[in-house]
Amino acid sequence: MRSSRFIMETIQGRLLRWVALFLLLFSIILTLSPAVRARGLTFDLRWSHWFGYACWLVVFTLLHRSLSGDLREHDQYLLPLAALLTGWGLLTVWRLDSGYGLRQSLWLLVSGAAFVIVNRKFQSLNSLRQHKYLLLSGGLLLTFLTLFFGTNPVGFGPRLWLGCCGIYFQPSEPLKLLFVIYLAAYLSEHIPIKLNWFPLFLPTLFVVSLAMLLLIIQRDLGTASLFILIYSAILFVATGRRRVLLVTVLALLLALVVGYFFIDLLRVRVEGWINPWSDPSGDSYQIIQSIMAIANGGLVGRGPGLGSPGLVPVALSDFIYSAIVEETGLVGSIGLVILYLLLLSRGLDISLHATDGFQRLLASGISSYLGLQSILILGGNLRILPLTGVTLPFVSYGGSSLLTSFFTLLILIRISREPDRDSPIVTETRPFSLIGMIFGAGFTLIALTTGWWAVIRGPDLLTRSDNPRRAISDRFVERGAILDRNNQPISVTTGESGDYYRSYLYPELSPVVGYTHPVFGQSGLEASLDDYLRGTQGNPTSLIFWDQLLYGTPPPGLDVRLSLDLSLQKQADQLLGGHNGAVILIQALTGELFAISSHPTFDANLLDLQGSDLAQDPESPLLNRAIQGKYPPGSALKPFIESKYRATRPSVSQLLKLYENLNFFVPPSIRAPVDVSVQPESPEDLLISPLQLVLASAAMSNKGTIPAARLAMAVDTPNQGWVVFPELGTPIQFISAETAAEIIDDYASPRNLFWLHTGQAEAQGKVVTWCIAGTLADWSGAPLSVVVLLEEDNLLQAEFIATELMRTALE
Amino acid sequence: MIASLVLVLRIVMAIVLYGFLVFALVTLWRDFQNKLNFDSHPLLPGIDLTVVTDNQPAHTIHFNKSQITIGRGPLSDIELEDGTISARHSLLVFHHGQWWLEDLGSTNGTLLNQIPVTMPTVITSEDVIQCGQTRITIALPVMRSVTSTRKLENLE
Repeated sequence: MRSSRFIMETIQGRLLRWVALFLLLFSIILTLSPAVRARGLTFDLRWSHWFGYACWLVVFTLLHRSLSGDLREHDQYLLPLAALLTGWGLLTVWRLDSGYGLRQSLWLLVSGAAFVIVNRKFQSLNSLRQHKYLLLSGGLLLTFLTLFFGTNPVGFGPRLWLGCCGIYFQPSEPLKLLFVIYLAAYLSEHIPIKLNWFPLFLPTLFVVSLAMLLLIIQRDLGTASLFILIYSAILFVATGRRRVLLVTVLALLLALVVGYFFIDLLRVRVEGWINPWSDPSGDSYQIIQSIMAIANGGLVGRGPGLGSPGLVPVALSDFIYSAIVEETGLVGSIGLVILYLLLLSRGLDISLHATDGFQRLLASGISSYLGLQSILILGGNLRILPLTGVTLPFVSYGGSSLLTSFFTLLILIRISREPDRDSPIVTETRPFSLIGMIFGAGFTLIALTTGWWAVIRGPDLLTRSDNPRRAISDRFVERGAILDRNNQPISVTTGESGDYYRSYLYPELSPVVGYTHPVFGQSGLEASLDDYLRGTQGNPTSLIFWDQLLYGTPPPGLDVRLSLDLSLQKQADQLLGGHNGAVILIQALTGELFAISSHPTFDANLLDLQGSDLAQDPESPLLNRAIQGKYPPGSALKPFIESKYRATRPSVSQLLKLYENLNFFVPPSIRAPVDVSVQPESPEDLLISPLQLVLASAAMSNKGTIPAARLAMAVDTPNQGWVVFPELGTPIQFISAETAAEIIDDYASPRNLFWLHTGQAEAQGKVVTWCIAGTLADWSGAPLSVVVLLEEDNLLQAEFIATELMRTALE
Repeated sequence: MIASLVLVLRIVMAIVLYGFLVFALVTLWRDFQNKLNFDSHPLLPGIDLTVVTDNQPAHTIHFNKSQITIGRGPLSDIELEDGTISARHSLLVFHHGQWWLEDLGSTNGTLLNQIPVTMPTVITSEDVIQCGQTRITIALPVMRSVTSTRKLENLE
């Protein structure tokens, strides 16, 4: 009874209760997260991680009691800090993968038991000092064994583990701690005798080189560089000479340069670090995914279980920080950074008050080891440093890492015990303040960089088309439908939340409407109208904000109505049939596009099966020939030239001027992907799209005015209903109404109610056939115009298609 | 509905995280303040140093500060005109309830009761420090138990 009262009163106990509450909330949110993701439509809750929480509770209650049994007061902050980091990491591992979560929970039980047993058995730290050679050679031997018996739990990659029967152990993890112990013991025995200091350090140099050699052979470069850093930190504390740091920095730079030329892995890492955006899907994939995860976290994070941190490779160990930031945001990241800073400041404080030189060096060595390793991996996650595959102490997945972290914790707590005698005077405080400053600056930089990626660069990164989170949110949020002018559906989203997919009900329009696909991305109108279809535009800002905050996704998408008329579209597609080319039917006054055909076409529903073949197809079915195709106009432009230069033959500059007036040098303003248009050197080099020509010919049927093209007409907003999109372009008066009427009279056939002109052009040995047609000046209904393009020499077919389509449309 | 509940839980979780940090920092700050109070308390017992040189009569100086430097340099607390003494020769520091003697890397070394001083060493009354040709005898007042005071303050 007496001891439990005692426990209640300590700072350690009170802090641990905060931690338990934090992790409890984390677990509750994780349990509820599937329901939030599905927007309350499903109740498949997550429960498995509660086992991890229970393990955490058992282990740290045990540790707390085991430490409180000793009446000598120890540091009250170390255990709660380690408890928070361990618990946070454990639940994040559970969240990422329950299988690994279970393994990590078992490792936590093992580590906790080891902590309690060692704490009880060994009353003095002197045994560490006495057995320094035994410990170090044991660690080196185990690491050496990985050269022959090393495996990798994943099955590929560096063979750094010793394992059997499903249990794996990475000897380089405890080797770091053993190395610190050895250095602290050796240097504390030798430093006070002021010898010439080079021979003094020779044995330690030998040991560090041996360890480095092993690690470099094993390609464990992160740990190797960590060894150099730890070595220099301890040497600096022991000697107080700043030149140690200078030499280390030079040595590391030298190693980097040499390694760059001789070790492929290092070169890949460094290049991926310096210029990640050049190859975001290849060598820099990890770091880009890490940064995108951080960007998705933003200021407050998506909430536990609500982000997509599993997209980052090795999120469990190397990239656990980006997983944490994605789900707890900059707020959580700053909290985590402060936790590490507190841990390190306690470590250095303990070192300053240690009872002898060995314990002082040990405590500062361990603090440096923890701090440097954290900075190395956090910096790697944030692209401050090249990526190194070391773990984040206490947090990352990994049994050997967790066990080692627990031993560092135990040693620090033992050193912190109120000493029997007062600590010796600290002669050299400079190393402590300098190391403290380095850690302070390092972690501040980490917090600032997190803020940079999460808040400042975040919005840009999230809208990148290669950010897989968009595809994931598409599975959970309904995308708006694309409708024709009579609200007939063209593309719709079907399925259930969590399993939404896109259906294309009129597949012949695929080159125009495009597709939205998790692997192949987006094209056509699905791409250019994405903001509305995805709900990030057109919805009230407050709704977008709330949905982002609550679910981490945009609100349900909005339906968009097009100017297309499905019955006319069908007619156009039938007429064009198996010919390669394009057909456009336009309302000449308003510029509304009634039908757009581009053949050969493809079926966007079959993208999963055909996607990569389509891109390779020499017929290029993915290309929207009607809007993005570029063809020489040739004799098709005859009516336009005649409208300005009836009798005379125009000069080159006059022709270019005419083309400019016809708007051929600028891409049409339309809410669809258009190709760039450029002013050619000479009139013969002119290339135009069928859309550009149909707009020009519409001028003939529209009293000489080129209309502004319109395809996306309106969006169905939640507050105001259908809202009409404003026109993007402006109509241009090309010729007078009288001139237009005169010209098209020449092309009007007596049998028909419309004018028609066919033309041909040849480029690179291929002939293309054009046909343009339109209503006459005295037509009382809505003026219409048509363009037909065939990638073949077939005047009759082109004229047939145009005639039939005009007839159907005028009926 | 459930999303709003989770949002509230997320906010509470962040508050708890920072609550932990604030609690830790506040208690640390208090602890630090206690130590500061302890350090600035007039617990310095003072020290009497009797300096004996070959050519001068012995004289006793009383100090009431925590650091006393001995050397030939003009900034030394005990300035000694002696060719065998370095500019900054040795240092006396009061720390953790004890006076400590330390050699500052002097040419001829510092002897405490005829033994060379290689690391900071605790001194008591009647100890004799020898720097070059100069001998300094220590006289400390009877000390109170400082350590127990400190433990009391820590428990608060």
